[in-house]
This record gives sequence, structure tokens and C-alpha cells, in this order.
Amino acid sequence: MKKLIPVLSEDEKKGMILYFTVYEKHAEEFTEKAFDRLKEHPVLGKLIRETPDENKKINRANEIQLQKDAIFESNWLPYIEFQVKQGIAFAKLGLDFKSWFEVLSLLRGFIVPHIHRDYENSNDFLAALNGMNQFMEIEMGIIGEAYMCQKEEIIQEDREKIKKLNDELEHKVITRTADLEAINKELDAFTYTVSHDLRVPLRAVNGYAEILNEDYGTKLDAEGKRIIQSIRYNTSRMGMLIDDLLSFSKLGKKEVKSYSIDMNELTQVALNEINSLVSHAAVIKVGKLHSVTGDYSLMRQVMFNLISNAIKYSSKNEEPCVEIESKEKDGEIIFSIRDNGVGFDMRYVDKLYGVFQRLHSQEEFEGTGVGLAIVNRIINKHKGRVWAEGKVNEGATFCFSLTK
Amino acid sequence: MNNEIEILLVEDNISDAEMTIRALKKNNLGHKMLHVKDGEEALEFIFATGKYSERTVENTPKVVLLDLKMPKVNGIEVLQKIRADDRTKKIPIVVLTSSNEDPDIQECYRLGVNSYVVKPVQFEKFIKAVSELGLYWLLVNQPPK
Repeated sequence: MKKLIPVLSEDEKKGMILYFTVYEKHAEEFTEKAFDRLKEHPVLGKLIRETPDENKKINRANEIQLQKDAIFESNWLPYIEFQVKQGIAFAKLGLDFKSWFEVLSLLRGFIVPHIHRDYENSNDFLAALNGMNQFMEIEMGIIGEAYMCQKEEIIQEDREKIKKLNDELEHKVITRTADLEAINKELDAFTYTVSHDLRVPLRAVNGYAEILNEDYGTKLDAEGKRIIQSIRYNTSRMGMLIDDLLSFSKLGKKEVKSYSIDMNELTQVALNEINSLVSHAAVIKVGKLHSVTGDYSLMRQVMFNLISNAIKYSSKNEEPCVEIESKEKDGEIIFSIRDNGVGFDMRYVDKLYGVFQRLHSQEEFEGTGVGLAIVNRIINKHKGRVWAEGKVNEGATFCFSLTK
Repeated sequence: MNNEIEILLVEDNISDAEMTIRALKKNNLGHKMLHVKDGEEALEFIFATGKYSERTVENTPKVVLLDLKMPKVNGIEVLQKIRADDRTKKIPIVVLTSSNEDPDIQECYRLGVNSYVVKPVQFEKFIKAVSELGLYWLLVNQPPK
């Protein structure tokens, strides 16, 4: 604020005193007139209307005293501080800087005729005019400073607001993450329950059916034994369903790693795995496959599921054949697994990828109906697509695409 | 002493226990086996307290087949207590669990379990798993001297 204190020559000080003497004499009249003119002003009008006359009087007396101290005693600091404070307050009310010019030029219009009259034909006239201009300039300097301060304050407030919003956001993220973690934990507990607790009674049913067969088999006729076999078959199947459902639900949580994959090598690994688990007569033709980026173990699962499906559904053909190929199209790598098996009716193509959805009965082809659901989920996790084409008794082609 | 216990089966589920015992009996391993229904009784047996106070702790079984999920004292706690005592810490312990999803399996390995077996739903597999297990620990594995 000290930088706002003006350095005045004796002449300048004298001019300012001349001006102020006139102003002080008529101050009440000027302000009344100014208030009258400004009563429609969008910001000041309201203030003028709402401030009690008594307060206006006190404020004016106070301001005049401060101005006098500044001009007559060169004690500027109290006045500057007062005016900066007032400027900031008005700025906060929404009064723009430009309005201050209007107020001052209004006052000037009131004052100049009086200066003219009081100092007519004397050297003091010009000195008083100069004094007035200089004082008003100083005043505008102070108000300008006030507006700068106010802007700083606004920026600071904005910064604080932004910080507060950020803090709130961060807090929200933390809460949401905690919620998600809780849900995940619940899911883990659920998975555990499914895998653990559901198996216990199942094991008992299966076991006791076999004990019945072993210990009392001689007392049962063929129908009795068939019923026992049926009980055991169904419990094993439920065991498989539980296992498959678990591996499907585990996929949801699994993080997808991203590596470059040699798909020919991966396909060979999947084929070796299949050959070690099932004996089949299918001729498997693997073309030159494109490399892709993805999760190795998940992609092996995809190939394992699709190839073992192809082998399974072509097993009733006299010369079963499975062809695995890949091609590049529109920036995507498309893999296809084609077989010459029983195929499917395209009307049911939408059902292929649903969990536990099957297009064939257990008697025709064994399975739980989870394999393609797993393929779908894995490829989705890789941001790729799956689709299939088929015709009854004319084979099926299962495709999936991955980005390059 | 010819009637000493070689296999301690700790299993609260009666059905699972019955099938495990049946499998052991089929392999002529049943006669030296004791079945206890919870961790508390297992610890009483191992440490020769309560109704087993006639025993001596040093007379350890050749293998403990331990279920994890049990009322009162669970399998993990039993494992911990057996491993914490110099007299019993070398007893071979095989954990029986219903699922390889079991988060306790990692904990079991940390606590020094010798092996774990997932109880299969299919009876033949269950019998096979239990039989192989009993035979292995009784016939193949030389207990530490």
C-alpha cells in the first residue's frame, strides 16, 4: 500500500487543498445529488436505498476526515487503506471498475462550477482544478489496486474451491474403491461357498450311491442298478457344472496381461493338451497364423475350447476335419476354427455364447455349455469380437477378432 | 504296542469321514486308524491330554489327515499347534479340502503342510485319492527318525 502514497510538490499540495476546501464545503450536497443520480444503478442503487441516512452521514464524515488528513497533513496511509478496503468490498458486490470513473466524473461535474465560482479570475482557479484532477487520479490508482487485490482473492478462492472439489473427488474415489473391494470380497466368499459347500453334500450323494451299489448291488435288479448309475451320473455332472461355473466367474476378476503371442506355438500347446485328454480321429489343419497381442493363458483357453468343441461336434463324421486359420482385415486379425461336424441352425446363433446354453442334448454331445461363454468373455476382455456361422449337418465356423 | 494309531483322521463331516474310512479299509489301512470329529479332540490326541491322557506325545501317528473347515478348533489351528511343538512338528500332515479355490491352502503351505488333497465329487476318484494318500504316507514315505 505504501507504494500508493503520492509524492507531491508544494504547489501541487496547495492546489489539492484549494480543491478540497471547495469540496468539503459542499460535500453533503454533492453526495446527495450523486446518490439521486445513481439510485437506478444496478449495484450502487440498491446500496444507496438500503443504507440508513445516519450511516451515510457517518461514513461521509469519516471519509472526509481521512481525506483531510491525507491532503493537509500528508498522512495518506489511513486513507489509502480505507479506500482499498472499500474498493474490495464494492468489487465483491459486483461493481465493475468502470463505474468508479462514472462516479468520479459525476462528482467532477458537480464540483467544477463551484471551483469556478469560488476562485473566479484568480490564479487559484487553475491550481484548484489541477489539484482536483490529481486527487482523483490518486483515488483511481487506489481503487485500481483494490480491484487487483480482489482479483487475486478470487483466484485464490477459486484455487481453494478447486482443491476442495479435488479432495471431495478423491474421497469419493476412495469410498467407491472400498465399496468395490467389499463387493469383490463378498464375491470371493460366494465363490468359496459355491466351490466348497455345494460339493460336500454332492460328494455324499455320489458316495452313498456307490456304497449302495457295492454293498447291496447283489440284492438289486437291473433297474435298481440303473437308477444308482443315474444318481451317480447326475452328481458328477453337477460337480462339473460347479467347476465350470467357477472358472467362468473367476474370469471376471482376472487381469488381462498383454504380451506378443506366437499363435502357431500357442495352438500347438492347446492341441497337445487336447490330445492328452481325449482320443479323437480328427485331422487338424493349422495354417500360418498371425501373431497377436494378448494374455497367453487366456488365449490358450480360447483355442483349447474352440478346437475341442470342433473335435467334439465333428466326431460323428466319418472323416472329421478341423481347420484353423487367420487373416488380416481392416486392421484386425480374424481367427477361424472350422469343422465338418453337425453344425447348427443359424436361428439359434444368439444362444451359442450364453452360460449353460446348449444346442445339443447330453445324449448327443456331452458338455456343460460354458466353453463358448468363456471364449466370449475372454475375447471381450481383449476388446475383440466373436461370431459363428453354421448349417445343420454341414459344419460350423467359429471366429474371433483381435486388434493388431 | 501293536495297536498304536498310524492314521489320525480329523474330519467333522460324517459322510466324508465314512467314505474316507471305507477307502482306507479297502486298502487294509483301517485297523490302525482313529477318527476324531473336530480340531479340539485332534489336539487332545496329539498332545495326550483329556481323554487321551493315557497316551504319550512321542508316540506320534504316521500321518494326520486333516480337514480344514471344522467347528471349534479349525484345521489351520491344529496345524499351527502341531508344527509349533518340537515333539510333534515332524508328523506328516495332509490337508483334505473340498476345493482348490480354498484360500487356506496357501496358509497351510506356509505353516508347513506336507501335501493337500482336493476331495473329488466322484466317488471312485475320492476313494482313489484317499487310498493313494494312505498308502503313500504309510508305506512309501519314511517318517523322520
